[in-house]
Amino acid sequence: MKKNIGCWVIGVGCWLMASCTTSVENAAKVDKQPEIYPDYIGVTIPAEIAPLNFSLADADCVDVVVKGSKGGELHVQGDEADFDIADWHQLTKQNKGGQLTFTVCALQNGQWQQFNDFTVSVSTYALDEWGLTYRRIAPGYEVFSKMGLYQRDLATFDEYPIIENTQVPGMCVNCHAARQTDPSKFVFHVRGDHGATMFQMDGKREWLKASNEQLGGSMVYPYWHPSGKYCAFSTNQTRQGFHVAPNERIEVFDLSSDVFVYNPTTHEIIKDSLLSTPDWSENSPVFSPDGHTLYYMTCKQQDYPMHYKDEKYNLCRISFDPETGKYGEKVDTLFNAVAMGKSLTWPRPSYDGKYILFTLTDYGYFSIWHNESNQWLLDLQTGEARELKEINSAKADSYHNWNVNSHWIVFTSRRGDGLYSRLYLACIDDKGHFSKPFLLPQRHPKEYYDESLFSFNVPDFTKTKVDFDAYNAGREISSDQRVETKLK
Amino acid sequence: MPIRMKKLSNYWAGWLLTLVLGVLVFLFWCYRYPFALTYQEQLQLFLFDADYFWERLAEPGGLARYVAEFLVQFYNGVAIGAAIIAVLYMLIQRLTWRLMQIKDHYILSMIPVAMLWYAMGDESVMLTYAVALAMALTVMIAWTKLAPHHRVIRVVTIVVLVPILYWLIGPLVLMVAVWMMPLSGLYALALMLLSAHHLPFPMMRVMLGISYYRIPMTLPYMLMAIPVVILLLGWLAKRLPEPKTWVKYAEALWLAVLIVVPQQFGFDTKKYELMEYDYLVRIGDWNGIIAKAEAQTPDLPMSVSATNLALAMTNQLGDRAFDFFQHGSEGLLPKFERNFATTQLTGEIYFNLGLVNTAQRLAFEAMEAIPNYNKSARVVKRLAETNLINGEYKVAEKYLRMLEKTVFYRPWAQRTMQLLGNEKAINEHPLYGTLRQYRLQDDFLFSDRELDKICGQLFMHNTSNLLAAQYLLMMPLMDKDIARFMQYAPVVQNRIPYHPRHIQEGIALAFMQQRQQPPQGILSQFMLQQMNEFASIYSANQQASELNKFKNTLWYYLMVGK
Repeated sequence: MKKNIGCWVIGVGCWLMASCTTSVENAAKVDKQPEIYPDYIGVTIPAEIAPLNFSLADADCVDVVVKGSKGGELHVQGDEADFDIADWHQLTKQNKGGQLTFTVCALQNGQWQQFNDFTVSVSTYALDEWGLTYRRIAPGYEVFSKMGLYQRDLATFDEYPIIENTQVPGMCVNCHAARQTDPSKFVFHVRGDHGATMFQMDGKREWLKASNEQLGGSMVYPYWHPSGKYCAFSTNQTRQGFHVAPNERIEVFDLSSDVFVYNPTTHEIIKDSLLSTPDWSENSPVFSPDGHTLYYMTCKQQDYPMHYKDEKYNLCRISFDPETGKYGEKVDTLFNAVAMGKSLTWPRPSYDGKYILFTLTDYGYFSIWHNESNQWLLDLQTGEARELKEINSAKADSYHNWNVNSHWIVFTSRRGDGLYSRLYLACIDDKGHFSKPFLLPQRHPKEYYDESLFSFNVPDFTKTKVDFDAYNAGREISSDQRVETKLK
Repeated sequence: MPIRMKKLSNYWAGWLLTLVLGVLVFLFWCYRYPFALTYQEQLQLFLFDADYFWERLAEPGGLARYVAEFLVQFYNGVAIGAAIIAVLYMLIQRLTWRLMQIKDHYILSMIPVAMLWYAMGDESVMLTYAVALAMALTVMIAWTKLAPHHRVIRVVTIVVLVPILYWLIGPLVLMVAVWMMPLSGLYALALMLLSAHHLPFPMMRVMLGISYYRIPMTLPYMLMAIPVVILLLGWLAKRLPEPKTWVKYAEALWLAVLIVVPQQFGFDTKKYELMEYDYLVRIGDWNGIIAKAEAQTPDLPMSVSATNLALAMTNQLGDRAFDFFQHGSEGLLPKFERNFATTQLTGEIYFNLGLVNTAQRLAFEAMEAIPNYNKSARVVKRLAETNLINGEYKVAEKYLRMLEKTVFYRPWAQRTMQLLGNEKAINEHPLYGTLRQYRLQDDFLFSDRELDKICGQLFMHNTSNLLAAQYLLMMPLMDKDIARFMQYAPVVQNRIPYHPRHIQEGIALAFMQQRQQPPQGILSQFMLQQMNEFASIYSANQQASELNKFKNTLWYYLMVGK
């Protein structure tokens, strides 16, 4: 009996070992590039990024050799290309500024095939970030199941929750923001019965009352002042509509919205009549990297939901004095999207002060539900804006953020399947050209993205891992103890 | 009787009682509340892959939950589901008896199962609890037989075993720990409290079991009492004297009461009725729904909606709507509610109407509304269908690939996969092709205040959409708005020959209210006679008992009914 079991164990072990560990022999050359998932062919990556694992459709076994232009080699074989993290980083660091050449062979129906090689460039620009933060939620309508704010180590495949809505039943969390990717100043909102706005500054948490009657609503889209002394917000009366015809799903519009700056030290809200006009909706404020300008978008209010297609935003700016906390007296229109028949949304200045990255869509500002939405770049030195055709797709390309050295961006795109938004990274060189974007690597990317019923949204880089005590935060949320804000 | 014979007789009598219990449980779930099983099945999406397993194992009670969800997927076959529950109950009963370690008082070992049976009348009680209970009892028996004698080794074993068991079965580990050594209950409790600090759940949910009950932060008292009763039985049984015959009879009677009485009170028959309606809608058994409604008039919003849908699907709504209880146009298209059951049913109505986007939205909402954050195989199937109809093939493929990893939906997913990108096959498909034709092409935002207008647009877009025609005309009638009805009636009747009874009643009433004669040929002579008779009785006495013979007419609904 024991002998039989032993035979079985050895047999199964041999079968497992032999399942995909054969040497590539007599591979037939195929004059095309391999159809790998994700498409990493020709992308540019930071040396610090996690391995670009990939799979090949219909391949029983994949054999991949990666050679660096500056030396080093990796060889993996298996159901998919699954690189060892340490070996991968050794290779990418050795080849910073160089190229990695991938030789891919696939075993199909007992026959090896060798495809044309492809290359991946390793950028000279450092990532200078620990990872990403994002919200993960099903791309739903009004009801939400499990969701939360998460952070991902970009050097590995490890993801950690910052806070999940399972912590407090019925809760939703959204709109997180860190000060220029530094999570020591961190903010997000809690929606639901225990609504609040959470400020965590240098490890100390504070829960603001969800809405302020003087403000006429709740704090919504946040952006930290570079000094960390202020945080700009919009306050929005947001509504949703649902399309009846195919190819469209959700429409988001604001019955009204204003922009203001909040001082977390004094709990004061700094409003201005220029940023709270009765006939215009001001939205999505962001500070310039020097902290002296507040950019925001503005739109002539329409009769919603009837005229939701007329909701179109321009990019404006107003000066801001961080010493006194006062706004300037003049508003400039920086980019007139309305004149193009379009609507601008999610302006994000690069931290080096050169550009503003934004999304352009036909109407509205919730671009993730607009297939036509695309990324654009405004050069603040020349005043010229251009569509970033090199990174855009036929599906919604939407929310984005810069890394701290302004050479990498992360953005959401629905190019994968048209519904579930995923994160893509791209490199921008000194001349303002972007490289081909690449999908956020996963250990088993095909399986991960195929089975995930979540969308990634509001991505941002994070310099360090966000230190957040979710357990006690959950208790504090449930306690409903809130700090009042006041108008200055 | 010789002692050996007596022992043998007791042995078989015990098994016979267990078998009787199993048969009763099987019959109960298979024939009395079969739709409770299909209801449970649709609230999960069990996938045969490693990720799903590890995801479940990432929280306390994960193994019990995984095993339970594995079993619940078979609930799609009601007889298999009932057999699974019966076997599980029998197992729990036998394990309880083994734990008690005395051959008499066999009937007492059925108390925990009777309590569980009662508790499971609440549809939110998860099978996870029963599986965890069986696992816990198994470990307790194993401990009784195999526990090390050396005190230090015992303590070390407990220190190691309790956290592992906690992670596998959840808070029922507390019962096991107390059984092993009463003080180790404190250890288990401390572990649970400690784990709550590191889990993304509130303390209360961790303590009550993350997956014992579908609604977070609550647990029925009965489920809390079961471990206490088991421990008491284990402790008490050793101290009980051998029962006299009358004690055995008393115990049997006590058990009978314990089983029979709670089944009458523990199960909300109305709720289970709705589950049946939902199931019949799900499988499209329209005649089954009508037969059920004829047997007992539906009076809850969900059952009324299901009945109206069934009538419309069989083209009888205009003739028979007022044969049944009605409560306004919400009985046709209910308002959106944040729960799985009603949202899913409402989505079925929109799906059949051809409002595929709205059906898709409600399917999505229904799935997101499942309180324990589960996904739903039924909903994923519907989402695959709506995306297929809308030509969103990549998204449809994503859902179909998931369903390929299930037992029951796999054949359907594989068949449907062939349709991806095949426009001709989809257009020729009896359901998907039809719904494609029904879909509106001019975009606007959905408004639940203009449902009649949306039905009107659906009908005008495709006049073969009889469901839309029926809903369009019945909506104002159910809202008791004859003027609006008279605007819509010609829109339909000028395009298709549609003159069912209630529509004629509406037209007759409208003309009578205007004190006009309807144009020749619109109404049958019989209808006019009926109208006159109703009018004369009604004008003489609005409370006249003779009006009862008009109970299934629109007139009665509008003018007499409350």
